[in-house]
Amino acid sequence: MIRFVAVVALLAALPASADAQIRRRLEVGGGASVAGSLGLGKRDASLMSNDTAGSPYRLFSSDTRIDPAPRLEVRLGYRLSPRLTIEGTLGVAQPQLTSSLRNDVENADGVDSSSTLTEYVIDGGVLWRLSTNKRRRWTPFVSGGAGVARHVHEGQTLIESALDTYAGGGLLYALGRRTGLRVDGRVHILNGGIAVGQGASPRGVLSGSFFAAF
Amino acid sequence: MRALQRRYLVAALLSGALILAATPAWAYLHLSVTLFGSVKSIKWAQSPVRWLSSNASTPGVSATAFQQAAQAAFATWEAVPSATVAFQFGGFTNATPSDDGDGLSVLGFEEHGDLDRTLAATGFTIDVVSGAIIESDIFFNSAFAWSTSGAANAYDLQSVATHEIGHFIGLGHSALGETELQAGGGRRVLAASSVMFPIAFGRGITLDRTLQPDDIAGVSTLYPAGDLAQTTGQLQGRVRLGGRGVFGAHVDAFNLRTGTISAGFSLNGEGEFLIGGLEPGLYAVRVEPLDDASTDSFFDDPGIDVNFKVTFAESLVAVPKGGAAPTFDVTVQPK
Amino acid sequence: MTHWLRAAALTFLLPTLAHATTELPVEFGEMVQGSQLVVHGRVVDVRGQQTSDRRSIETLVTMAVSDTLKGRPADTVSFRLPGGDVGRYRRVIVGVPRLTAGDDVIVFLRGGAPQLPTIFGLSQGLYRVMRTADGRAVVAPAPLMAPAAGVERIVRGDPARQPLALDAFAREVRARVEVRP
Repeated sequence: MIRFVAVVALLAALPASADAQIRRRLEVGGGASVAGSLGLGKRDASLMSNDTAGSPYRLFSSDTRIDPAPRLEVRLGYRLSPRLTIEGTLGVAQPQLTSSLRNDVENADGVDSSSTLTEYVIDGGVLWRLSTNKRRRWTPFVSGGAGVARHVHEGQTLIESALDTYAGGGLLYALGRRTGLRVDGRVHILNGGIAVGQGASPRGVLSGSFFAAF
Repeated sequence: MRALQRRYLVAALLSGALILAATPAWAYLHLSVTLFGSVKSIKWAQSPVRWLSSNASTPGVSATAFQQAAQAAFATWEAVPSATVAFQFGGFTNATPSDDGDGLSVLGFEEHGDLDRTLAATGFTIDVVSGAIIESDIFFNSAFAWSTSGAANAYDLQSVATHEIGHFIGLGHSALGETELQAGGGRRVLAASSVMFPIAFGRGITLDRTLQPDDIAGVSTLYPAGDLAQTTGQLQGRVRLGGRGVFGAHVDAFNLRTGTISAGFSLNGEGEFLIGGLEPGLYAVRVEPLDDASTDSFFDDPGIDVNFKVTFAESLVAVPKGGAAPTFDVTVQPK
Repeated sequence: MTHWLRAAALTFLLPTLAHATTELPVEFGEMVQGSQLVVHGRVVDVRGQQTSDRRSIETLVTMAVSDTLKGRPADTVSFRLPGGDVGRYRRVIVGVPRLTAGDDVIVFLRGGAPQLPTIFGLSQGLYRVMRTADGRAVVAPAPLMAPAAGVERIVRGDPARQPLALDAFAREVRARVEVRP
């Protein structure tokens, strides 16, 4: 591990070269991100009412969400052309899943009941550089893709898988000939799995990472 | 006495045996009896369970109409896809529900003016030596007005029959309901989510003809269809107060995704509860005292603790398919 | 497998549960008015017997009376409960409470000669006298009393609803005995 870091650091010290960047097709990166809150729906615990209108009798209300949490990400990409890169990303986080339980008909104190999730997101997608200007260190890009989000509930007794799609953009900054920094902003949409019944559930993700090209 | 004993003995030989096996999980109370110090669930071993309809009628409900309403109520329980309970109508009889020891499970009207607060009641005759159910009978008190058409000034026969047949197959009461007191006397059900709630909705209301998720979980765990254990899950834990277990606490399990509610009770001095037959998913758990009821209508043991506040569990519970969620504690506070 | 074994073990910790029926709840005052006898005492004998028509089984309960809250005072009182044990046979009527010798109870009884009385509303007319940690005698469950007007939702866990002290419960009964409908 130490040797790997040393090699990357040496490479980062080398001056940037546009021709060298184009020739280097394999990209490896790692960093961190913050995923925003994901709403999983509001639902009332209701009993069957005796009134003629038939409206449900609410016992209490719930409002459930996945809380924001930091996420570790690793990425592997392959540059097909000066502009186009295909890439795969693995992200791992441990957000809290919280349900705000309120409005109890028997005056129970409201609580935020929670449990810890382990979230694995594996995405495949494309990155499109919006510029190939060799004189600039900053390169904007757009990206998009899809994959699977797997949620392992506390105790590992329940595992749910959802379809994850994303779209976003960001900036690449060349540190040297082979290395750089990347800042992403993305919107992820979960379908099914933990988000089943909620329709398309969007969530913002902001990430920063370091990458090296080979 | 000798003649009665002889009748019982013959009936015992002819009747089906009671399965005395432990029920691994339940959504709420299952009826049981203590035989020689051992607690046994009341459950029919044979299938289909044969029942007869008495020839008695009451104003507004003929014997035939009674049988048809009872048949519909039996069919409601029989239609639960995750349960295997089945019934067979054996014909009309002059026997009455109060004729014990005849080996016949009879449903019918009976006059019980002395029980003017009892709409209907279910009874079992059990051979305490073999543990066999000799018979189970249900009387519907003809001191009340009954209807099979939802008439506003009468109790709906099919609704009450659906509840009593739940007892007939071994289910106890559910506490999933809310009530109010009325000036001048009376107590009205505001809402309920279980046919097995012990208080009837009221005259003219037919809501209890339809089983709720809690009822379905109850019968399914008592008479499970083949793959129930693989397709559903359980949650389990303890209710604690001041470091000790709470006996007789009512525990609600609310599925955050589907909105269904199933419930159970803490059934020992450690405050342990187990709710089974649950659809896999994430649950919020809530604990409340049975302080609005005569606990004798739920439990034999008088030591039910009701001196605590309604409380939510701090943790959400992930119920898996074919297994149990990790055990957790819910700590309640005294009133 | 472990969780099935645990669940099976939990099953055998079940209390006996054979009580259930469809009842019409009765308000406390209505129950006082509708009872011929209300007594506090200790159960001294419980025995099953055949009913007078020999068609069924009932239980004869005898209490040593410590206080008569309504009706003619007596040292002992006996009443009937449907169901019970005779020989090797047990009749369980779902909804009927089970009493054992030594139980400290208050019972609301209705009916009378020539037959023995029964508990009002099956289990509704049975209250149990318990001892608190500090030795006070309290009566459970807390009686549900009708509001003076309108309706009053019953809130579980209501701190205001506590088991009454024995003497307070007796006062509530006697106060309603003196109210004529």
